Amino acid sequence: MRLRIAFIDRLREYFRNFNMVLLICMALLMCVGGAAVYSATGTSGNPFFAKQLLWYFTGIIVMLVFANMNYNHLINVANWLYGLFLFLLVLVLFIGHASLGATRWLKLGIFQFQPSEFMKIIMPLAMIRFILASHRDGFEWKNLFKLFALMGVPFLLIIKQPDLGTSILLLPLVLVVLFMGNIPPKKLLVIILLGVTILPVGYLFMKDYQKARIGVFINPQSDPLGAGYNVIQSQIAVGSGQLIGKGWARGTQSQLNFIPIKYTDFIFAVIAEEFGLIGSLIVLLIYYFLIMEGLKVVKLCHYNSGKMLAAALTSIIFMQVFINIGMNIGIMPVTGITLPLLSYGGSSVLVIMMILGILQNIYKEYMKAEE
Amino acid sequence: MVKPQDDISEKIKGAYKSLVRVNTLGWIFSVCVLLLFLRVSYLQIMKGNYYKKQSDENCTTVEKIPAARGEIYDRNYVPLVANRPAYTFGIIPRYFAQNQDRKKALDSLSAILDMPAEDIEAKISRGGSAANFLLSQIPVKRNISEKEFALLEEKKIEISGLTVTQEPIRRYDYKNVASHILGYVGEIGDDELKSMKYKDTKSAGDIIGQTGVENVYDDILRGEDGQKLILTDASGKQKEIIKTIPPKQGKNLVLTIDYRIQKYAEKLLEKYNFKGCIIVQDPRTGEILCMASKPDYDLEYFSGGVNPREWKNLMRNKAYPLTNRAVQGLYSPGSIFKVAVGSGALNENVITTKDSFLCEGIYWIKTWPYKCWKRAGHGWMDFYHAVAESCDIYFYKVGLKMKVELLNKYGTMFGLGEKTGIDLPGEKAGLMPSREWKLREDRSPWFPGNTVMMSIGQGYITATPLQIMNIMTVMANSGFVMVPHVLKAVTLDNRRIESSFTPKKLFELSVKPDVIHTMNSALKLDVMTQYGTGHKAHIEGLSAAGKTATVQNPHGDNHAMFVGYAPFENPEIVVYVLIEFGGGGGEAAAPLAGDIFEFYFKTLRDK
Repeated sequence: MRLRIAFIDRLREYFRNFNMVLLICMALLMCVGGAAVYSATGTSGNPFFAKQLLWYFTGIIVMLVFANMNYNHLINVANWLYGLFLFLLVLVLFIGHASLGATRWLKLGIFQFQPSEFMKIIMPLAMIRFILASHRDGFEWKNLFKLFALMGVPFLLIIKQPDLGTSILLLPLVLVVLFMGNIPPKKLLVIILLGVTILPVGYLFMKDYQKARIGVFINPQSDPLGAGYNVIQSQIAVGSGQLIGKGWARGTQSQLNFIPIKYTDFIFAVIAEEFGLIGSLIVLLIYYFLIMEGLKVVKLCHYNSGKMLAAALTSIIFMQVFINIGMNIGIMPVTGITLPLLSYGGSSVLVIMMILGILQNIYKEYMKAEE
Repeated sequence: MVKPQDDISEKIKGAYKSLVRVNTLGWIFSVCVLLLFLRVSYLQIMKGNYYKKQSDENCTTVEKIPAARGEIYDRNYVPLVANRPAYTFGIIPRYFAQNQDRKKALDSLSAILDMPAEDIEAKISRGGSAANFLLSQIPVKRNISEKEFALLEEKKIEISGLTVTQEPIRRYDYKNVASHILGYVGEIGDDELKSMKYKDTKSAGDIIGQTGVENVYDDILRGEDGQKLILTDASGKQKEIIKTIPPKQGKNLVLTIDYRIQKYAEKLLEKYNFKGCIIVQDPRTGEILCMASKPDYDLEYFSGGVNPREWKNLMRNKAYPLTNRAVQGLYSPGSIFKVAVGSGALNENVITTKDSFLCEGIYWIKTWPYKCWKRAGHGWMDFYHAVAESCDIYFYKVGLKMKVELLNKYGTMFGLGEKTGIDLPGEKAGLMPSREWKLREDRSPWFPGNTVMMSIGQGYITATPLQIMNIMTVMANSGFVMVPHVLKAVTLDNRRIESSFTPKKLFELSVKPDVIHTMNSALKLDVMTQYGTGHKAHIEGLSAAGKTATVQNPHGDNHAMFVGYAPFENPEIVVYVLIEFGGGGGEAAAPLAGDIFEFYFKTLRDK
């Protein structure tokens, strides 16, 4: 008994400087994610559920590691990380493992490893380092141009894989970092306008299947059994959940395989179908609290570097949530963006846990400073 | 890193600026999450029912369990049409489309089923558009043989979307008997599918009654198909049966037909290889006891979907085996029309029974000769003899006195030119000519010659055997005719009568009773006396009345007709006999009527 109290006391002491809201949201998402992955794959015979739990466990360790490692160290080594992952991205181009028509993975023994996932974190780190290094002239046009060149290389490499989703996600990320780095509003506006004019040109360079996805995003019925199939079926799944859902592991759309790759990209459709609007609302609320807590960390942090980093990381979570759920309910085109902590997958879970770890660290640094 | 000498106000300004920016991000994120929430609510609440239905249709295959059609009995519950189990081969278009090599799949099916690949393709495409459910099956071939069954079961492994289901089909134990009345069944056609009658209840490939009572009483005979709802995954694998709604067999029909008389009448016609028809009716109720029309066809041809070759043969046959002569054939009523003319003449006081006319065998209108059937002439004829001996010249003269208007009036009064409303499909109305009709249709005036021909039931006038028979039925009933019908009752299983046919009056004569009485006496003479033309219909110990007709026709020999009723005092049956190209009515048709009387009053009574 005493031992237990002592243990709990030590645990409490350990987590004293942790952000509880972030922790609770994380735990809740893991519960929902576990249940959803189990429902989506329980009958498939593959040990997705067990593997996902393993990823969660690994992820918690990763989170604790990052929570205890000062984020400034990360910023300091950002250049090295940037160089390493750029090299890995190039490597993917040559010896990458192809799956589902895209070459995104590196094989490391039995594990597959997706460098582009980690690039989401490394890019803001590298940017922040660059901005800090150039002090007050960070937002001179000359420096901005360099910055864009720095970001453009991995962006193009990821587009080449092709992974349109991740690369598109990087663009707002750049904007968020600049925005939180207190870039003058006029310059930001100019950059956004430039971007908007350049984007349509990018459409010309897209692969046919990407154009088809955009096409069916605009009108899914144009190809109901082909490219539009995902969109239609996931919307049917979500809609048919109605208010209270069909019950756990009892959604016909997911259990009878009408939703393709339901345990990763379309896990939200599974949840919405089986738990209805109530379930969807709970999931949305958890994410909302998580995101708002992330922004609170941004506010609390005293340093520009921390603010920029926390904002960028929070934005990653927000954007993944928005794009993934958006494509599940037909307001976003279908891309390979996963739903944080709910989608099955190692890289996806680990990256989110890293993000949460870094956020915790920024919070911890603030708490320490307060003390 | 922060230098202590940094301007404090600058720092506060910067902190405030970044606070504003974080809040901006917060608002953007909030709005986006709200957007997600609104969209999810819209899908799940506003359109929830729509998507629920879609998801249900996604995962449910509806297999139809066809209901057996009701059975058909004769008036003594002899089963004329029953059902037997058979196997039906069908295709589920959605899954059939998953085959890699559609052409090859179709070809191998075509080889097994012995039907062209295009026909199978046509059935699939037709059914695909009409199917109520995405995953419903289209019947392709019914009544498949055991060999086909085995081969198809094998093919099921390599070709997806094939089904073999059990389905009841028609069984006809008596082959040809009453085939026109019963009618055949067949797959619903494209036009029928669009018609109001079947629009909501039937889908492509369904079986409907095509002719006869199968057609007229289709809605009674057809049951309610059952359904099997099967949970199916995205690849078409069937997981479990969710629900089974058993089919409901259709109601049974009990016809007014007497199998024994029907069979006997058909044998009679067959014995002499006659084309023609025999109708026996109970005048008191209008019930049709027998309606034989020859040549006919074997209903078995149609029980499992008609073989195209046999169908072609039937369609091309010059003897028209598919036509029910009794209601679809049109003939001149010939001398039987004299009953209407004679009654009209008496009623209008154009003649009395005492009036006599001279028959010299030929009658001249200007330069046109009109002959009597008896070339030597009948001599002086009074009313009774003229009817019994069917003197033409007597009726020429009467007709000319009556003029076309009165002939038309009494012809119409006796039911000619109007459908009888019998419950069989395709009934024709015939034609009762008039002066206006000829002016309109032929653009020529009415000549006395036309009147002469009309007065003996020749010329433009046409009628169906059933209408011609009704001329006698009205005499048998002394002035009225019931609507002829073949349906006696509708029964549920084990002979529980659900509803019976209520006899209705078709028409009533508005003539003086003694006119009918006089005419009946004359008709009795026709059968009962040696000089009567219908004497050969007479059988020992039965008083009957009747009238013969020898109908001239441009296609060959005369059609022989006889219609009569018995017993004279209290008529039970009216018998009509038509023998196409049979010659004299008295010689060819009357003896057959006699046989029927004999069979009905002697053979059946003695049993």
